[in-house]
Amino acid sequence: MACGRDTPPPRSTSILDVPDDLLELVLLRVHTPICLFRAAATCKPWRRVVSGAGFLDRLRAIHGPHFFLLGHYCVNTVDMEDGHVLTDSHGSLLAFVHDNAYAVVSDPWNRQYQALHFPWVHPGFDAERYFDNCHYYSLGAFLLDDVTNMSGFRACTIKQFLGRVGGSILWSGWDGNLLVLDESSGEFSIFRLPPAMAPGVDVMNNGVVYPLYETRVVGGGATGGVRMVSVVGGGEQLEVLTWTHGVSECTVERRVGLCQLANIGASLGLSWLFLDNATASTDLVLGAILSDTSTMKVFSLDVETMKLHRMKKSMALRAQKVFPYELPGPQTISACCDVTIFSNVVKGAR
Amino acid sequence: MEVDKGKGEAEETRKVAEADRDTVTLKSSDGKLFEVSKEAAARLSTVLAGMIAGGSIDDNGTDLKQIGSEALENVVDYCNKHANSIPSAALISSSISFNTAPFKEPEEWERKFVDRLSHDALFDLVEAANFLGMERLLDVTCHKISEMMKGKSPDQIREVFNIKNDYTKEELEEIRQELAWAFYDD
Repeated sequence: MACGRDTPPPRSTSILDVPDDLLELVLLRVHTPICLFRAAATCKPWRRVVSGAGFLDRLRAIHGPHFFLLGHYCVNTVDMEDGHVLTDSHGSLLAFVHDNAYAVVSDPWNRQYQALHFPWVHPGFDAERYFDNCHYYSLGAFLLDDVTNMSGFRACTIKQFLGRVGGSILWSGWDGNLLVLDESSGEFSIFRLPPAMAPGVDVMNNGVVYPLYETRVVGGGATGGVRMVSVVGGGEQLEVLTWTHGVSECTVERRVGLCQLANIGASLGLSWLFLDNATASTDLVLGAILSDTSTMKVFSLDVETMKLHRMKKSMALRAQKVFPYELPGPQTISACCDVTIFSNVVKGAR
Repeated sequence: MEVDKGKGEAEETRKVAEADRDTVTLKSSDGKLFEVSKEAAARLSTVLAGMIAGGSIDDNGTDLKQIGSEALENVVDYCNKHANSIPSAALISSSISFNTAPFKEPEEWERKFVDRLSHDALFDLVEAANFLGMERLLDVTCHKISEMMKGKSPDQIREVFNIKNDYTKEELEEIRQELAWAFYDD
């Protein structure tokens, strides 16, 4: 190339001369995830940068946590006859449970799936779920944080899912016990809810009443613990509970009357319950149900300020439990073939 | 114009006290000298700020052996012309890590500044900005390079950057299958 300068520098700087740490700065600034994948597909040095340690974290720090977010999957409670219930999503993977018999990990983007049969399902007994003379229930399959693709994942199958916060995943039992999984160590611990708490009522399941504890995880407490809220006292009071690791019982931070908060008159047949929706973090949605008229008022709860705001019922009921779905991360291009691990953690109940 | 004014002021000051010059002289790897406002250099480059504060500035031209004359000219140009509109590099770097700070879009003049550069000059400037700890300039140049990939297929990106495809046929096929959705040309 002829250039007008008197002394053109005799160099041939190419982008490949740019050191990796600077190349990373360039690749961190791409506008779309697709652009990132294409860049990684151009040559090996670029792919090495994109699949490097910490690249994804830095990418999310710059572009926000939802850089790869494509949309949300929603649990359709109306049309469930095929029996697969979506219980978790992580990156581009979805986890389903089918009829207490097996879990399915699915990668819809790449049109792959894998079924994992629960060990307690005896091949000879069609309807029986026995294992070591215990009866087992599966209430969900959950994908842990280190799961990135179909080639390596672990699944846990336990009880009712309450939430995950600060490296802990929580489930409730039927008996007031809560199960906590420490995601980093893979260890479980159990703690009890305060004994005075009365069971809630599950009216979403066609009015069938289960002795279900209405508890939701709302965030991390001090020193790595967990904060929860429970509907107690016959479904009219709200307790804020905290639990710290290594303790078998949780403490009641505060207790408030829900009707008082909502500024509605308390009546005998009125009970409160959580309506699960998309953002089960600090904003919870509560329904106040009047049993004799089968009417419901819907409120959103800000746990920090302890304020209830009336919201439109249609909005709340449309807000089904939803699961974020992301593009498969750049790990998919780093041709890693981890060993498939299926560590199956179950909790027996007689 | 501003450069000339700076030089004029610098000469006047030199008569008063050599140490109180308000410009610094930088020497490129190929021996060319460039004059840059001391205030701007200290504001925009953490490395130059450190050298100025540490007294390691050479009045006869501080050696920057890693930076060629073309890149240094661009650096000095950037500092002298536009210093006034940029927040202090030292201030930014003390509070947040550059690597993870949310990126602020380049301003119009910054766009123009990098748009006129050839690819080679741009890559050299990225390295110079990195070497001198000029975070905003690094940001703007990296942004410009990443923009050059926008909307392009891997083949087109290779063409733009003159990158040799070092994947084997089999590897390429594997990538194509795994990431078929990411390619225009499939």
